Amino acid sequence: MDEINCKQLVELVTPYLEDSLDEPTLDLVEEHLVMCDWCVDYVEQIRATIGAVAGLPWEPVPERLRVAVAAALEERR
Amino acid sequence: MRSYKFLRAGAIGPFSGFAWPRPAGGGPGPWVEANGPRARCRRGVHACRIDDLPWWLAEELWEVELGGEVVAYAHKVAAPRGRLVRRVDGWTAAARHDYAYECAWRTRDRALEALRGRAAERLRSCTTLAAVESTARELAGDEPEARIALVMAADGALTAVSELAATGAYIAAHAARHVAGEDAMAAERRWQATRLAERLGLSA
Amino acid sequence: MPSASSTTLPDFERLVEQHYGSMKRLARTFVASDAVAEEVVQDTWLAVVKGIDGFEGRSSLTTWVFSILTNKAKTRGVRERRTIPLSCVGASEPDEPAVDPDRFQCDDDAWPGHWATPPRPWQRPERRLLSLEARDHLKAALDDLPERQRVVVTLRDVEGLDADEVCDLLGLSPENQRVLLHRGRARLRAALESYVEGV
Repeated sequence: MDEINCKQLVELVTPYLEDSLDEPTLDLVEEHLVMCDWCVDYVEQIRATIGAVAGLPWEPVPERLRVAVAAALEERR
Repeated sequence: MRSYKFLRAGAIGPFSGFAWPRPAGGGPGPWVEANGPRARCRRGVHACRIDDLPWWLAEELWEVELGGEVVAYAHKVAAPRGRLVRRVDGWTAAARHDYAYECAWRTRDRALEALRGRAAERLRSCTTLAAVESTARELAGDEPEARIALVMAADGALTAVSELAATGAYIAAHAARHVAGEDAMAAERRWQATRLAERLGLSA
Repeated sequence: MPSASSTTLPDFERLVEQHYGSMKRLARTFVASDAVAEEVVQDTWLAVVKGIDGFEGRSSLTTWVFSILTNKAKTRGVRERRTIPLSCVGASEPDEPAVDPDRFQCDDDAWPGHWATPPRPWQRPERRLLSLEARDHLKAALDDLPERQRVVVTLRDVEGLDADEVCDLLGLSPENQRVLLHRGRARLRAALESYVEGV
């Protein structure tokens, strides 16, 4: 295989972002990204999605849990 | 053997985002170790031989010096360390533009190889790439035999106008293969490399 | 008045807030109801507070907390006889391409496998994605993910655990973990894409 297409690239994005592709595959991905702005956008969008997920607001903690933890901490003193 | 490297504006690595330290005061820049704290790539510093250049076209072209054992891959070489020697000044935005256009016209010519008669005349008489794009797309609907070659010519014209040099080079190479076979593709890539070397005064 | 020992304690109140959603999501994969999941989260924190002096820092605190949670949730799940363990991945897991195949050119086209309908660049993505509306949309998409994808995305991308840690916690093979993460992220990107494009 001497090149990959976009359909193949989008399936490789996860290991690409983790730097876990083997060398020949990484070469193919890089050569594709040089000539395909759309796939560059796709990879960026996956990165942005990860960032957005990481940045989601925290869910509210039930009062019951808050109280129980505070009580447990108090007991330690 | 001289090596070259395409980088994004500001001498930034296109995949790693690594900011290459630039030469200052006349000499080469400092050595960068591939596995050192600043560089990301575990496989080494990548560089191009002249023949490799068409696969990597980007905003800045630099001459680089590699240190240690140089390993050759299909379209690149890699070494444990490298440093930027000098910027290839001739590779400007205008040069990139011209190069992208040349590739696009060659893709148009490739489509002509697949056409006859009136259709060929219409495509040949285009004087701008915008005209190539619209004419080729229109003809693609009427010329089943040459449809793919025409779509390629239209796509090539479009990318040239967007100055996507690497995409245009890719399209030209694939159009060559589609119309004239694998050897033609290899020859097209060789033309692309030689043309760059000529225009920019690169030596091997 | 904080005692000498409590000054070296982690900021538990903040940790509880920070990790609550993820912990509940993870617990929920082992037990049969939200209410039980909440109980498991609470039991976990109580165990953490009680056992913090014994935490040796061999893993990150987060990893440690999540492994306590997993153990408690599993125990609870067995007791409550929840049926399908998370780690059970059917041999015939249906294929799920990251992107709708219709988005790519087919074999008759000039560029088979290349984008036919490419992803349009998200205009000022950082700004869009930070808007409340976008976040709500993303949160809804996360909640809609198949459970296993949701929990892997949560542990990897929200909690920042690494692949090995997630495989250990969930009893997944590296391949399974990667596939679940890949598909989860792909679905979330697609959800954001339709939001950003106003489709």
